[in-house]
Amino acid sequence: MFGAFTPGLILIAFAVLLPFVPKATRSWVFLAAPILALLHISGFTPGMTTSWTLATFELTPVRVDPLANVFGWIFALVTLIGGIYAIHLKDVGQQSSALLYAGSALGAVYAGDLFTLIFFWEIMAFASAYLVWARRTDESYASAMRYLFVHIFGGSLLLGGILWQISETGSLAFNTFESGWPAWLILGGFAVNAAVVPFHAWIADAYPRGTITGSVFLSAFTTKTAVYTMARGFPGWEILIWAGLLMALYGVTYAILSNDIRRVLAYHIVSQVGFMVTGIGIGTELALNGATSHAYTHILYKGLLFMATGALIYATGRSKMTELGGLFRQTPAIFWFYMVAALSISSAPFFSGFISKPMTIAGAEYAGTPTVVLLLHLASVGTFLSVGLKLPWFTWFGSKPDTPVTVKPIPWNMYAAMGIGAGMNIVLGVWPAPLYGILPYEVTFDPYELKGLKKGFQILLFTGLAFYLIVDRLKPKPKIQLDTDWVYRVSKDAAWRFMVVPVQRVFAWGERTSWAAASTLARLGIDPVSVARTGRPGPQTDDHRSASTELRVPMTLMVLISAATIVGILVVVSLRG
Amino acid sequence: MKLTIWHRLFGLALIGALSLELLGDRTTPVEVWDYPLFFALMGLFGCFILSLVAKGIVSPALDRPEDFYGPEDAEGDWTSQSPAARADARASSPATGTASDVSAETSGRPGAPTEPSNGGEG
Repeated sequence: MFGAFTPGLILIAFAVLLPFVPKATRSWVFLAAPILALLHISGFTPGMTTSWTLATFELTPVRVDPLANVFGWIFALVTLIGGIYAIHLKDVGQQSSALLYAGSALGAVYAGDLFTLIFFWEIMAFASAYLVWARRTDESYASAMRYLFVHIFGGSLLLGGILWQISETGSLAFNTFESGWPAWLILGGFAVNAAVVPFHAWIADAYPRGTITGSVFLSAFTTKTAVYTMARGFPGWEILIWAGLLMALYGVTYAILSNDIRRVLAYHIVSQVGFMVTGIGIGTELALNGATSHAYTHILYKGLLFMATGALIYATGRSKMTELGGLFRQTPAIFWFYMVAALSISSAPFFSGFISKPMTIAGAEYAGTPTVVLLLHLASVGTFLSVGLKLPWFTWFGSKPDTPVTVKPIPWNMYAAMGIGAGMNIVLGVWPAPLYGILPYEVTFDPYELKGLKKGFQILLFTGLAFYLIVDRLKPKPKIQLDTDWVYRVSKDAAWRFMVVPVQRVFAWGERTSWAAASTLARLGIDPVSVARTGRPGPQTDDHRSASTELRVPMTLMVLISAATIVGILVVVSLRG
Repeated sequence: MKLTIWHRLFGLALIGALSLELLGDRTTPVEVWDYPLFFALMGLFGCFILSLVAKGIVSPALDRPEDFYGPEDAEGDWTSQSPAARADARASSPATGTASDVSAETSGRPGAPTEPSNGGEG
């Protein structure tokens, strides 16, 4: 009767059930959710859909095609790996919200209509904000509120665009958009979640402040769901080429300067998503395959990067390069897991990024856009410089901080999850066929041609040489860099003064006035005969007074409000009639 | 400067990467990246250019103290500091250079945190 259901519902159902599961087994029950989702996805065949009719609209809560399946597989996989990483966690709020977040992301990628999309999109925003808030510090609370503010803004753009689209076309179908105002609004909503500059600052603000396990989930879903929706709705839109290039270079520049290790990674999400957005903007089959495969590998290696840095923060209690250093002998395993991910993001041969990022750049090459090719290569250099060289050097080598670092052991499950993540990054790097087999278009690209190997080795090794020559000049400083969030962070007081306070005053005036009116009417209503005879209210007894304050005034107020509502409805109906 | 085994290995790797230019068929360059050593130079000078832009232009213009947005914003130690301990620490060392008081955002909110700042990580 209902047809195939979205695998996201499995995760959401577990999110609801988890608080009722005994604490001792909760982390293990968590793992059952992504395993069941993976089994469910394995039964999907392209072309499968589920359709419902809602009023006059046709809803498609499930649409299975190769593009959706690529994201479906990796979302469920990373939920499983993240669940293993979080086995030691005793916070049901985080566990439930992680499942809710992952489930709604899966719901969004399998959505075949815009109503289903925005439904899951909004759940995603709130569930993910909880993973920042759950660290329970003042700065994480404030950061989560800013995160919500930005995502509610993005969601409003999306909703506005969808409503406009429905009014123009009468259709809720989520397919490629034609240029026009509704499409631009929808693209704006997607751009906020994809961290397109200048809407990107929430990522560097919130992700370093999320919980250790929460940021692993955060790194996977929001931006990649937006990449999926852009690939679905806006392939070949030229503006995305330049937006993506700006992201790629902007992200690496800020990453070079950042001091907090997870902020470096957050800026690199902006940069790597920039590669994907550029590929979508180019819009050829090769470029779209590149963008899609890069989203897949990015989720794997970025999850591992956040797991390794999270493990280091867990072990040392520190997150800034200026407070770390010389930790290699104490945390060698974490370092090697980190380096697998760092080499993957730098698209080193035999690691996962090598099978996807060069495909995106090849898409630009074959599309005849040399400037784009050169700038993407430059961004690749910056990626290896900051994530592959600077961060590990000043964290695990370099000089030790003035205050000695105490290293505590990390749980076994963190090692297990990092091991699985590292293994997948290497296996995929040397054996790309399983990923290439599920991409939306046939793959003709071979990353292991001599040209590709030459490119990969030369860029990395000579970037390494340059880093060796200027390493002292790249020493991190205990500073932050102003970013576009400055606009809404410093203008918050002014916005409060000019936008919230006047509204509050209007409401306060309305409350005072209506209460005074109701109070007067209540007094007159005690003895209406006396009012009619003398024009004044009759004498009040103590009973009258107490009745006036306790019951009569609120009741009169309710009658007034009801009357005003009815009058309003009648006016609207008569005007429309 | 003393050459260690790591220096020698790195030197060998650089030579190996350059020697890849000798393999494969020679073709007439069409684009700039078809020229020999292009990617080696891209790695070397790309690193210099990005470092120069970041450290020479962006950093002087946009660097601010870590507590620029308020003392609570300069997140740091994850292990021992409960929010209450942080508040004590802040009270004993007044902050400098704030542009916006984040505490105004968070003051008086219900369910003020009482757990350690590592979010239930053990």
